[in-house]
Amino acid sequence: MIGPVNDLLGKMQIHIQVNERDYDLLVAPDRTLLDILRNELHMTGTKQGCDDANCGACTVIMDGKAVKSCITLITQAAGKSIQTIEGLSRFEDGKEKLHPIQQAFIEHGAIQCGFCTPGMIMASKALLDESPDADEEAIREGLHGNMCRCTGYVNIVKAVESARDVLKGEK
Amino acid sequence: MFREYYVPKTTGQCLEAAKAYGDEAYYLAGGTDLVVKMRSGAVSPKAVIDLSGVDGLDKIIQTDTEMLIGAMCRLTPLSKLAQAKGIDVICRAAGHVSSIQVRNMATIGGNTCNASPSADTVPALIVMDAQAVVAGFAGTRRIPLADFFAGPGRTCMEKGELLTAFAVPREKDITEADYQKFSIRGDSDIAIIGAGARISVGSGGVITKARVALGAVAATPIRAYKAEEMLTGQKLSEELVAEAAKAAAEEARPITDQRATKQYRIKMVRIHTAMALKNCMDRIAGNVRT
Repeated sequence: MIGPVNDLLGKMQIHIQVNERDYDLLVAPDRTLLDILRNELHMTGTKQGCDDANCGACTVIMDGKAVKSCITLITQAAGKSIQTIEGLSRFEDGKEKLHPIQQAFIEHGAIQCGFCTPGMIMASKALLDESPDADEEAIREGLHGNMCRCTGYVNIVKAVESARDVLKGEK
Repeated sequence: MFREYYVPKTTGQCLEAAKAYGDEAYYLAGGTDLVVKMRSGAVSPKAVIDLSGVDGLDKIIQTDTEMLIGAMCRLTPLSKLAQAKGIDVICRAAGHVSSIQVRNMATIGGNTCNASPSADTVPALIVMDAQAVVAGFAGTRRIPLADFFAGPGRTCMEKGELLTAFAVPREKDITEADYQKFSIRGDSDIAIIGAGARISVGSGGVITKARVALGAVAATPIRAYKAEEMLTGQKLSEELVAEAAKAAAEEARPITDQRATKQYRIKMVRIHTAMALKNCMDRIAGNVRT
């Protein structure tokens, strides 16, 4: 008969990698990945929107797949590699260089209040990583889990199409 | 949300851990339903038993007589399965569940065990005559999916029993199946109605097996038996499809809720059952050159 894993006063040791850095956590297993990212690791780029898996503002990439961190238990992220919006841009020659998707969102007016933006960008990245030739229909399908109350989605889709072309080297 | 967390490696360990807690432990598959319910307080288990480390629950196994789909198969890879012959409609229905983020974590077993009357994979499983393979202390038993649900959110499983796989029998006759989901905002909305259909034809184009399964129009997913009887032994035609769809609509027993009225759902059953049957007919015509 196996025993519970969280035997350290209700907590357990969990190792995760976030934006290519390793973190060793000692946490209760019933906390969500979103809660740990924002409140333990102080990475507040990922947003807490509906908190029940509808709006997608909490979207991060886990082992290459877009997931909603508000309903991902931290235990489900154990041993996995997480990428958040904070991990998207690069530093070159001491200057921050935005990811083509981030740049495209700015250039195409795909950001109004900005609250859905980190989730939209991470969902878009996961989509384009998996389907570098995604057309408008595939992009809209891939963003089905992300809600925006400001933009009406048109500029978001245009931004993702533009980023797709940049990433393919066509621009 | 919960106190104790278990990571079993075998189904035996799952059953033992569940037995120790009785009503107060839940199995965790993808978490896309369970974690939502725990966070809202709809359920408050003492313990959660994580199935993701249990060997063999996420395999698809083909034998001479059937295909076994592991309960922990995640919906995204299932929806994109290349070698899906015999379970195409189940894979297609898996792709209709919610959004990509949810499908990356959600499992086909979890979609059944959550037992929503509108679950998208269930009508597809029913029309393919799938049986739920359930492990318990007394051994393993098999339950046809059409008989698996007791009410909204309730299955016929005893507490602690574990759904390990779906067994889909192989069919020698030419078979086509389809699932139509009707909702407002595409897949990320819960189905207003779901219509699954399956037709197997033998010599002379006569229907040897017909199945029609409906979601979101009763307390559980249901089979439209009268529609099935109407189709069996006949040859497919547009008139027959229309009659069967009408019969299916009469067998639906939906309620009025925030998504749609009872009357609208009945109309949509007729339209979408006809669509699903017509798709089967067209694909069979593409297969069978008579």
